[in-house]
Amino acid sequence: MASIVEMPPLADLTKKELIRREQEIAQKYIGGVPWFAVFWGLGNLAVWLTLWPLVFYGFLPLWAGFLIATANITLSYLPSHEAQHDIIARPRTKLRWLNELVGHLSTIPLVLPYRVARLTHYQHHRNTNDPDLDPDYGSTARGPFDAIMSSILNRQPRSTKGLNGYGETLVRIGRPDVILDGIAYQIVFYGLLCTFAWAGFGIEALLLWWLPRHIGLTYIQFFLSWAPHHPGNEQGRYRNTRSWRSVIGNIGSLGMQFHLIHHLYPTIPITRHPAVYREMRPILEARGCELGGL
Amino acid sequence: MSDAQEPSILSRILITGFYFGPLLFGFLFIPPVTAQIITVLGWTPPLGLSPLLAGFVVGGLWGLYAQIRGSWITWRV
Repeated sequence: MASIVEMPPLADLTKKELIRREQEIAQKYIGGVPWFAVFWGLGNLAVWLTLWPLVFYGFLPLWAGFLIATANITLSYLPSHEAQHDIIARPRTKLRWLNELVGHLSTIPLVLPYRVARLTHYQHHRNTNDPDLDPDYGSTARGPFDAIMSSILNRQPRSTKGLNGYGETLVRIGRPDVILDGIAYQIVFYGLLCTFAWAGFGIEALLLWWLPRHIGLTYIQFFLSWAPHHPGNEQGRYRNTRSWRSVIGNIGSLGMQFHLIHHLYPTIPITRHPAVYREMRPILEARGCELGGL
Repeated sequence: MSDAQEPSILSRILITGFYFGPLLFGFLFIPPVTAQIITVLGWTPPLGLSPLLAGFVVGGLWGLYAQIRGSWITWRV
């Protein structure tokens, strides 16, 4: 484990000097193409698509397909998240098409359109923990069990929170046109589920897509929306997100132990967050961030 | 003050379709899946029902419940 970088005493530094040092550290980690996220996003989708013929033709048992599909769908959001923040390639650069390709394709199994995800996610960053304006505020919960229940209840037909509330956010920011993306995705999703079901592959559709999607959504919302922002009652730049130690480690928690770094510097690739955190930790401590003993 | 635009026929169809989503799911997805599960388990539904008909009973009742209550799993959202 890398040691925490030694830094001069910070207690006497002004806020201006602290932010200067903070930005100096962050700038070292911004830039370059995160090829890992590209291969992760496109490869993950390829694996999930391959499951279907493998299971249908009996090359892979359904139970194994279910486990792999659940992992696929759980892992499908973060590559798109990198694209949502233009981390793979910024606008008007040569690889911009790759950024958008990963953004659009990687969340197909999640049935979450890229434009919906990006626009609502920007609102989450702009209004983190605002009960009225943060589209992910519905994930707020008293504890881990409540967070899981909230995630499930927010997906019920008449719920207006969570994904069900994204339409309202899009209308509020003047992008009701993007709701059409959501409608199209839902029609195709349920259309395919029903088609497979009536063709005799209902159990396969249930276990390769419907159920893994629900499990993946709860997993993602637990680790991306609830845990890093819990208890969700502060909105300041250094207090709206915390770092924390997960019992299932960094990979098990989808890298969200260091989500604080993402909210401070959204264009740093996720794979660099641990290194940024270790170098920036004394400054974060001086700034009063909740570090959770990490 | 401008008049609100009347939704198109397609919009009305979509809005209605999504509003009755629980019922549609209950009648279009749950029945064949239930029938397949019953068949795989080798179970015989009661009252002489075929697996598919049993699926329609399960899906129809559950979908109706979700349609009225707004939730598949709780009494009230």
